[in-house]
Amino acid sequence: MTEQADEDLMLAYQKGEVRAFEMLLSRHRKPVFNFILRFVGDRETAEDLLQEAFMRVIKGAEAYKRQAKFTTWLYTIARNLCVDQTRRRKHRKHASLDAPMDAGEESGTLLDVIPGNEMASDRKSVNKQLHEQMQQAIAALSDDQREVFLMREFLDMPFKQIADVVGVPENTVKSRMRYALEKLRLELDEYKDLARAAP
Amino acid sequence: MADDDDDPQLRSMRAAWRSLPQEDPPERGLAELMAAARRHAEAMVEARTPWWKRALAILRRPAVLALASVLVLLGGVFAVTATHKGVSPEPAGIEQTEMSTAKPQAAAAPGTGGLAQPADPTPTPAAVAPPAISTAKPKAAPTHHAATRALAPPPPPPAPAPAPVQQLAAPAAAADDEGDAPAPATRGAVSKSTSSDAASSPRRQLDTQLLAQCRAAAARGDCETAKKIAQRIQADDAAYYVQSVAPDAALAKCLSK
Repeated sequence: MTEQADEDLMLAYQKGEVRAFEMLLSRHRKPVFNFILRFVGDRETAEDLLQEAFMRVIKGAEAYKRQAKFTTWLYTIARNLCVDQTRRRKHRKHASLDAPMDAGEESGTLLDVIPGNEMASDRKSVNKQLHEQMQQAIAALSDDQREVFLMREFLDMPFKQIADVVGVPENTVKSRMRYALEKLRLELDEYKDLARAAP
Repeated sequence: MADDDDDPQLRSMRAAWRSLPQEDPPERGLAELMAAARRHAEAMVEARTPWWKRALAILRRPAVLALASVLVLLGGVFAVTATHKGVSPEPAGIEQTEMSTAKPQAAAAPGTGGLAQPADPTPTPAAVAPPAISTAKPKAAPTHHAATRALAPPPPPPAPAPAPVQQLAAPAAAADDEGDAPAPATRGAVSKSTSSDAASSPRRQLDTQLLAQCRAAAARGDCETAKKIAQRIQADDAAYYVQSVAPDAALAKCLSK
């Protein structure tokens, strides 16, 4: 069962094999969680959305057809939840400069990651600084660009599949990706030396 | 291309963000997810099962089997009770008949000589049935049930007493094998007379029955039997004989033969 395709596991679950769903969960829980976390930037919200995403998979399992790729279906659910969440958040409040970027204790504020004059003394702090800057740059992307960027760079999805998930033409996805990379290049330009030094 | 793989700056940036640590999802909610998955899996399996398989599975459950057993037992008890209720009036009627006829038989025995059977205070239904059969036509010999039904017409509160009549008729039928008189008709006449004289004394009831029997025998041309019955009536109650038998022209014609 460990080598079975996701689609076969899903069909097995439709026939009542709970073990198949357990396998799907173990395969996709972590990548989906990280996708959601990087999308919404808040751990607590990401945990709730992860739970909701898999609940929707369970509820929609009966309607699943083998023609659809399981990951496309799964990330469509996750992405829609993220989009709804960010829309709700935008309605509630506007981001402030001193608001935490995510709920983790190690996450800083936007003020913290504005480049200072001091240089990291060791590799660990360099990496930490780079990662923080990277996360801030990704968070600064628009929702459309961020979702494409996350799926392409962190989930290695083909453009065609991203287009299916997002529900836009493939060329639009490529265009959004190009804009996202340009923006990141500008954001991280002054850290390119750090990036080169990173492992 | 959107990826710009040839761009060295992009390659270095990509290496940087791909080195971003992957966070582990929390364990909380996992058990809840699995429980929901189990519940839904059962529901999906159930939804895919044909209705007749589901019905069969339900019927196989112990509780349903137990309920079915109880229902079958109750049904059986009900059926047996209903059957018993339907059958019981017949033996009761016969018993009542026997009870009411036992005394007159005993009383009539000395007077009628060989006509009356020895009095049996508690005759069995079988003892009553054979004479009824013997009075019937051989071709249309009634079954025990038919005979008992004829003996005990529906609701017989004051039980008729045809037994002595039949017992009286039995030797006559033996003497005259033709036996043309339809037994039910005779019994019907007896039933009618008994129902009209229900309030009179047992002696008078018996006399009335004997008279009816006598008339029936005369009507079918069995004058031998009619004479014997008339003699018995005379022996039992001479006044009744003078009052009822003697003035009857049809009987007189037959008795004079």
